[in-house]
Amino acid sequence: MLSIKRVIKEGLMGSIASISVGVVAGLWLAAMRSTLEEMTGMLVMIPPFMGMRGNISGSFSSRISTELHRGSLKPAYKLSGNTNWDIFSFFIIGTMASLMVGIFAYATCLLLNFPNAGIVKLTLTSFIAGVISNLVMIVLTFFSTIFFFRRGIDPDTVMGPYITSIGDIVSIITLFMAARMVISGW
Amino acid sequence: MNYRVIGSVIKEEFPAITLSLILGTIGGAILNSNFETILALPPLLALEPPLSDMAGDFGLMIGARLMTALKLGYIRPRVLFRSKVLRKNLIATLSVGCLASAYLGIVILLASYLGGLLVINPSVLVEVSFFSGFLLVLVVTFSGILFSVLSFKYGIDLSPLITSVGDLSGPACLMIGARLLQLI
Repeated sequence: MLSIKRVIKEGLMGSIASISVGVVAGLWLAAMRSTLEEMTGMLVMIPPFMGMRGNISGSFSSRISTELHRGSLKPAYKLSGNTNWDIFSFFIIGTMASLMVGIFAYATCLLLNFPNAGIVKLTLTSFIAGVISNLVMIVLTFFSTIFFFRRGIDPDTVMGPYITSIGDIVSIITLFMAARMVISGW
Repeated sequence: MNYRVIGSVIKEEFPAITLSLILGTIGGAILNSNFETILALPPLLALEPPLSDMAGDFGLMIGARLMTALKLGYIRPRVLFRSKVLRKNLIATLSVGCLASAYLGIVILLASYLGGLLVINPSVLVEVSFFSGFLLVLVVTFSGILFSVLSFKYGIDLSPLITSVGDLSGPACLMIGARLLQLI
């Protein structure tokens, strides 16, 4: 039987952790307002970039977790066989999606008449941020999934909120690093 | 090269990611339409990431619970709103939503104060955080219920839609909250 008290307790613990990490990401975002002013149109990219990061890391983790449960992947901190192909596939889709983020943001700015830094700067920013955040998040997701599984914790339960929260911080830091690189011309 | 693995991952993930990007971009456009105000009020900007996280968490929380209850036969879609299990899940989710929104208000206030970003009346900031958070929980909870029932009925996995709705409704609820409480 469903215990309301238990759901509230478990749900609240997860939410508190997720909100706390989200606020850290928010503070980074707020601290980088001057970059948003210099790279006009970049604010349009922030929600889709963070959403994309969460989706890709969540799907990758769920794939690794299924392989671990099925026994087709050994819970070792080692990359091998099909896992390498999974990693490569998610890297490709993440890179494609980050290019799309820049293009969609530019198209939206044109459509709604928002000032913008131009398609080259916006797409390059989201591409560079996408490549760096993909590398960081795919490696982090893989090893965290193995870590939880080895300790008898079901990755399907914990990885979702954990990886989206960490992904927010990584997304914001990489987006602003990339924007600074593009603004300064490397 | 193992093109089959790459092809299957792209085929499986691409539609959900594209939808999420489209809805997220609309969310970004909502934020950008208040560009000047948002930059002048940094705590509002800082609220965006935690609200987006809350949207995903709550949508998936109710979605996963309902899907399990539907599959186990505890809930029948025809008499959905008369179901005790649904009622209990709703009470639990909305209670967590209420407490989490209050927590968001307190944490954002503390963080803004410590980060030197507190340029808004503290009580208004807490009210906007609480109102936006709870409105968001309502939106994603009811979309979670809708998509779970549709997933069960038609046998397709619509859970990516739940998180995609969150990508749009996070910025939307933040702006609605700020407008209703006359912050912008």
